[in-house]
Amino acid sequence: MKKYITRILLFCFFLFPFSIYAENDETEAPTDIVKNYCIKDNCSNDTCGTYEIKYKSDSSLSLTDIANSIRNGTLSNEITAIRTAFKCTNEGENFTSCPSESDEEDVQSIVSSYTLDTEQSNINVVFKESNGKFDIDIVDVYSGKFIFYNAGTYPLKSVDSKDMTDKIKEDPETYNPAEYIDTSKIITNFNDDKILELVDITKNGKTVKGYKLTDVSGDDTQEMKLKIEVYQKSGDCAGIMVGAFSIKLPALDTVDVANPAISNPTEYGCGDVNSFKPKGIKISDTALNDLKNDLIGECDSKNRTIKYTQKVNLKSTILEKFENLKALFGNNDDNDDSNNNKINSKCNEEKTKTRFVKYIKKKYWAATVSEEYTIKGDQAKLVKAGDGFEYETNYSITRYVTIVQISKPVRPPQCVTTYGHICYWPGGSGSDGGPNEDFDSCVLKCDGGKYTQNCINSCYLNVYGVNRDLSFIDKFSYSNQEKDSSVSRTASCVTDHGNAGTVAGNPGDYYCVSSYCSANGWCNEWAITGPSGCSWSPGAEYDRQVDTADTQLDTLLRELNVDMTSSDYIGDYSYKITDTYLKYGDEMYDFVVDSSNPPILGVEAKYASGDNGVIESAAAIKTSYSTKTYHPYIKRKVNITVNLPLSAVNKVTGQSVYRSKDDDNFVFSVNANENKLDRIDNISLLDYYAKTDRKYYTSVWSKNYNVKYDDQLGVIKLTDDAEFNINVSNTSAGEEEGQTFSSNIQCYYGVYNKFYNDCDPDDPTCCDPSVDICGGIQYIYRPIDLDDVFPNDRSPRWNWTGKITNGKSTGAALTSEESFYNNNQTVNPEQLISDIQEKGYEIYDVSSDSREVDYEFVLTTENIRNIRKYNKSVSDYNKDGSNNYLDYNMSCYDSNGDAIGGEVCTSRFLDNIDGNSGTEENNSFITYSVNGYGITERKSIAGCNNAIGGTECDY
Amino acid sequence: MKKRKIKLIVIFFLLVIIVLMLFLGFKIFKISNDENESNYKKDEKSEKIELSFSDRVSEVNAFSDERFFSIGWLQVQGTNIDFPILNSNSSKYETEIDYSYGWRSPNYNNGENREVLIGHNIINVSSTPMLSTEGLENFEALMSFSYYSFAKDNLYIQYTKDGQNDLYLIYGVGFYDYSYDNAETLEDDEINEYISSVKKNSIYDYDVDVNNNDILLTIKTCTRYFGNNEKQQFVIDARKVREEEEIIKYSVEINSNFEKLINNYEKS
Repeated sequence: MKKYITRILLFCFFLFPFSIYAENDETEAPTDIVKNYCIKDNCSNDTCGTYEIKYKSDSSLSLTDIANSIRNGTLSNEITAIRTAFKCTNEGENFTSCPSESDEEDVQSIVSSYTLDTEQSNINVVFKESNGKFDIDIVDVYSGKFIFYNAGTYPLKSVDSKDMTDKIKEDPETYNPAEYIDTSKIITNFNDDKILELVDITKNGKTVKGYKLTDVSGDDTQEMKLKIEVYQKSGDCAGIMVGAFSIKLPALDTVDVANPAISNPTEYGCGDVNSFKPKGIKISDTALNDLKNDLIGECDSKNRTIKYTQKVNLKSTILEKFENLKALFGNNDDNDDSNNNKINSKCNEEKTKTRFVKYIKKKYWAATVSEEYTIKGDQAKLVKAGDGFEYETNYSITRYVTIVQISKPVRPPQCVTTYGHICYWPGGSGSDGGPNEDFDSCVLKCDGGKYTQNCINSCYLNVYGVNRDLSFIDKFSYSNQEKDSSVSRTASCVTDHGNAGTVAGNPGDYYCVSSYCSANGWCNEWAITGPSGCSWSPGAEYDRQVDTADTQLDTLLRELNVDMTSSDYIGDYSYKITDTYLKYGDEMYDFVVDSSNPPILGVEAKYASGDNGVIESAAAIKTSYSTKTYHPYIKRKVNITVNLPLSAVNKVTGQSVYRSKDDDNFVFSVNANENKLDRIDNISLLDYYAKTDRKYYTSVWSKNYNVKYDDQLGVIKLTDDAEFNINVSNTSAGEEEGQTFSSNIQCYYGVYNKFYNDCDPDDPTCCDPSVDICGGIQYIYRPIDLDDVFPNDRSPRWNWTGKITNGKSTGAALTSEESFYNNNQTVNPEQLISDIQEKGYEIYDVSSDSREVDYEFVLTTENIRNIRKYNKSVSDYNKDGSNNYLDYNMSCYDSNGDAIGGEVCTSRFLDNIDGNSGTEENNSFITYSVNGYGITERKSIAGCNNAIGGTECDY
Repeated sequence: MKKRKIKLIVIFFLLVIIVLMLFLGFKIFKISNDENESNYKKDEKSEKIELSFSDRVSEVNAFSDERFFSIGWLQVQGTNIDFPILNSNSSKYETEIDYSYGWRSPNYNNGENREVLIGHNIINVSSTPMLSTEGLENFEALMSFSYYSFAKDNLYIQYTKDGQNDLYLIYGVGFYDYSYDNAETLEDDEINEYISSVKKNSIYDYDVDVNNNDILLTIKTCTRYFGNNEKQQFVIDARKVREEEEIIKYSVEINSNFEKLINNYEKS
């Protein structure tokens, strides 16, 4: 039976689970909310700090609560503005007069006089966007628990009637201004001026009270405000709007919305961005990710939200930025992975490659550095055997430095310190953990000992001096931290100067409000400074950040200002020329000269233009905090020209060697065995070589190579399928820290030698072996027309040309400085040619003038045979590895004794023609007794010199 | 002779009957025993529960300083009680502590098999105590156990002491006058008597076996549940979970004490 009774009771319990609270609900009146409107600048202890700010417990949180919870640290000028909005007088707390709603100006003054900026208030506005429509939740930053100032802070008193004032003084704990103040209204200036209702809003998983707007169009760009009107309920101004203010909502275009590129990366192009990895570029994953996140922040998973305006063109923005990112790496999709930065080109073909160099990131600025490398070689060359050619290659490196501002100085929030006290009192020992006698007495007085919660709360405050309003706490569900401080909040105050006051009644003061505490316990004050990241001097901190950003930018620019003309930056170049006739002995040798060879290439690097090659800088950007002008990017260019090394030409053979970069008295010839250039010792440059320009001289022995005869034009041309025999390569050009550029230019030259019988048979100038002696001709001589020494504008060889002037191929005189042989008796080829042609064949007319004839003799067949025989007996006089047919057996006289310049050399080859001297080895070459064919001595200064006007041998 | 033979036959049958009865009795006993074992096993299969108590060994140690020190740390299932138990002999802690705490009865001596922990309740003393953890301090949340809906789901206490976290299961909840024994040393017979009194005064019947071999824990606080005249102590008794004992949700039923509570104060 007993069991059944129990079950019935339980059944009833579950059927009416709330009945247990029914009585409680009846007995517990809603906790009051104090609504104070006017603000005093000053107050005395008897009027300040004695009024308790309370809250309704029935969830009907009114809009005036918002007015009381504007924000921490309200400044004096703002207080004045608020006071004006609420029609307060400066002198006291009374309304000066009742505002008249019929007075348009008066109402406007009320409504527009003060606007809360959500960024500076405790109002928290949450936007939820969907397809261009917004739902807007408005709550306060304390999760719907509006934080009110107590009397010790800003005594927002409402004393518009004597009755009210008296009530406050009489019993501040039970003072209920709701009896005097009507519920306020909150009205939007959009959405048809909708009057909002307090509703439940879910915030961080909790249900709090707030206001909600729905379906607000994202196209609405007007400034949105919530107008809060406050109406007086009683007194002289009953029913009249006595105050109003606005809460300015953030503009929709600045509202953060969910970033769809994070939730759907593929759709918005972030999939490609995330997987992008430049081919052949050495960049760490960390650096690459930083670069991606900074340049395409829309794809950064940390950026869960974006501005609403960004969302509209989000995909195209990402794609555009992705192209920019790829451009940093040179768009190298088709590049060879193994050698991404190498360029190959042919002859004068121009090619360009761009590559990413590095990404530098600092707090405020980031910089990307990329380089563009352009190469272009010279055109193919056609030369006659023995002629030289120049081959010039041109390079340029353009460096792009793009600076991006990745963060801006931020003005930190003003620090405020909230002070409070915690009251302690004796108790808690022994076995009694309950209220003391005073408490029980208070409750007995309050409700006759029923211990209703209202009386418990009230007596707790009275006896222990601390407000622990459980109805409030239950209602809003404080966090642990808030619970800890809730006890002391009643005595909190806020300052913007970081110092607690010592006198009650003003902002910044703290004091113990509980007489019980003063009498029975003691206070420990506490202080909390916030908000996070705050500063006591926001302006100074902001200025400091601006200076830091300034300095950082300058530093960044300096770091990126590299010397692009330095040898490290220009790289290493080499020339390789394949010449069939370039031999050392019987060994073939490919001419190679590079930075490892003593002869130096003609490498010259010059900035393109302007200071340090800055050829372009973008329009100035102006930071939002400074008028200082910056270059967000700089394009700087250096031009590099690479030429062959300086050469020297053998005076006798015409073959070229190369001059030392250290001492041009030394020359270098090929060493095929070691595949390098060897310095030629024991031979003075001045004795045997002529200095020339940066040319490569072909061998006079060269056969026809890479050439063909054009029947139609009747000229020799380079073949279309020529073999590449010029190769100019470059390595390590560009930023030395990153991966550098390399290049390879392939081109060719053709050699034409008509004295070889393998020339084109269609070429009429080709050597005809049936008529001529073809092949093997090393030293060219021929009878010339003394009236026209070089007919048909034929180009004289090196020894007839000093410089090419005015595009003519005729020779120019060597100056005395340029003459390396007869320094004091220079030869002027042009004048010599002119003299010869002026005299023409008359020069042989000894009957009229024999002064120009040195000797007169007849070469017989025997003479010629003897000379040929002699020539075959001599070889390699200059030790270059090949027969020279000349012994260079001259006698030299050094006129100034220093072996440099002024040296005159003569051959005594013909000296014994008349048999006067029998000591010469060639004394039998020419016979003098054959039927009067002996030599007739005329001027007899042959071999002395060719100085113009010379009449006798001067040695 | 014949009578003697008949007598022997009767004796034989009697012996057979006796043996048969012994056999049947054994069988009945065995069946009964098996049934008990079966029921016991059924109980063993009761709903297992997982507790969310935290390890507080380090907190206990860290809490000691020269002014006051903790001798343990108390956590009560379903409440916000998760704070230190201080040595009541400390003369300073009472006035310098700004956080929730409890203290141990000064009558306790080391090694005793029962401890009494006491804590404040000042604001949650009404006859309709807050069924909440929000805003409550010290032992104020203990009053939630005055509600059956709460008590039947919250059965365990963790008392951290001497470097280990020990679980206790509740076997009694009741209201007492100040004359309630504050736990001086209890002899074995006194312990049994005490356990009986707890069960007798408890407003719920806990399906928990308790005996004088158990380690006992009592936590109590103050109330004005019945006004300022009687039963101003609200007491929860628990025993330490035995070795190999499973953590299950054992049965809790309201009893006549609770019914009186409802009848007297119109509660349900």
